[in-house]
Amino acid sequence: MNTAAAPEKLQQLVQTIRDLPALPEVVVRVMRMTEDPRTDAQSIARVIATDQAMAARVLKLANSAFYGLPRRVSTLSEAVVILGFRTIKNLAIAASTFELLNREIAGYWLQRGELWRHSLACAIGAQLIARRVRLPVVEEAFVAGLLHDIGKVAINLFVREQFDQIMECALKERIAFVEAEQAVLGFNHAMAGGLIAEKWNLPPSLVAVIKYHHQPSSAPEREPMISIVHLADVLSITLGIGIGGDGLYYHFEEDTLAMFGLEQADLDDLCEQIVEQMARAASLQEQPEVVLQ
Amino acid sequence: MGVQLTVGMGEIHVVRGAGNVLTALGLGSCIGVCLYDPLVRVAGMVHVVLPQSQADKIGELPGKFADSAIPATVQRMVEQGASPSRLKAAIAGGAQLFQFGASSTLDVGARNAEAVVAALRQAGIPLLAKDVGGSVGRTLRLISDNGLVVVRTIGGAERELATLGSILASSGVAA
Repeated sequence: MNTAAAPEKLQQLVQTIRDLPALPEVVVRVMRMTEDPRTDAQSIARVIATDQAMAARVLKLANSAFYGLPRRVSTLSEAVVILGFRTIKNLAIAASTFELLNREIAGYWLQRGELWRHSLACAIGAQLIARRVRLPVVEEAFVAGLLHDIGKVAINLFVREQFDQIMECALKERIAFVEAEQAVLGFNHAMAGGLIAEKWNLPPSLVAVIKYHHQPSSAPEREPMISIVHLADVLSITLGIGIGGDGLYYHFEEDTLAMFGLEQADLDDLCEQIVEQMARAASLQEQPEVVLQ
Repeated sequence: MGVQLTVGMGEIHVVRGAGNVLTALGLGSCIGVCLYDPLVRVAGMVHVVLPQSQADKIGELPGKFADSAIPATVQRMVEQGASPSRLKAAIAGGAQLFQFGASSTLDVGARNAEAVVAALRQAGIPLLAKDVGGSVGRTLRLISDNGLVVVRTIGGAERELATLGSILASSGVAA
């Protein structure tokens, strides 16, 4: 199988990624601050407030039905105190990637909004899994789930051009669609996502999740977060949330279940909770403004 | 004055009269169940997510589980003037992860299909057509004029699955 990309095609991909918008400076700073144990709510609020549009969007999300706050919060510092600054960080990331993830991804036959729904379901699913297996990474899981498929935005046009060949390759070779992307195009959406994450200066742990979310066992270090997102992705796509032309041609690493001690009943339960939370999250999908600059 | 309704996960929608379209988008392992009473043109669709309900979880969305979804949909249709004895069904969905090797624990699609078929049999509703299994996403539509059921494979073509209002449509497929 030809797995090396033609140099000019790879060059085009690199250019496409270069042309994608940067993460707003505020988000990058907030992400860094939440890593620092000395950071307090007030300083996070102050940083977000330096970007007024971002501040407004974060407040709007904080007041959405998803968080079910008992009363309306009107200031950022209040939102940070009530929701915690890790949740606020997630809201800032969600607000700033919404426009990208909400695009139509025709290469995968995803209508506008479908990739966003899939990303959100995976974020919610990753959070639920982290909580269930008692790993103290619940908020990180949300971000990792949200961004896992960001590479589809970059390789969309390449896949659209050769969708039939990729599908044919997957069926003929009996390989997952993502592996067929690699075979036909010479790159795949997970790898492209890793490049975007690096361009955005996201932490290496997050880059690894995006890069290896289809094959956690291939990662240089077997971080539980990669497997959490892998499972959340599998559950979301099985449920049909953001299912595209690539269908369920997805290779699930079954040992993920043994790793976390999960059984069929747990999976059914997780599916049910994802569906329930997605219904509540409908309010998060109604924030149409463009945030990326 | 028809309506076009999207039937989300766990939802049940029932319409009466011609000119309405019910749609379930992006069915993976979920099953879209179409029910139709040709005489009064009452059409119902439910988007089933899981096979079995746990008593404490049916809550506001009885349509989520195969075993509670069928009776709940029939009930809603009866309220609109349908008769359970005239109802006919068609289903689509129940896809699974592609089997690359060993069998998978994630067989919710197959379990869903089995549970829906059993629930229809239990309710005495003939199943005229089904398009279940495989590893593809599907979109399902039910047209209220004549009970026409149309399935589209995501990334593929659209095709007619059944016409639930047809005079000839009287017996079920082997389930």
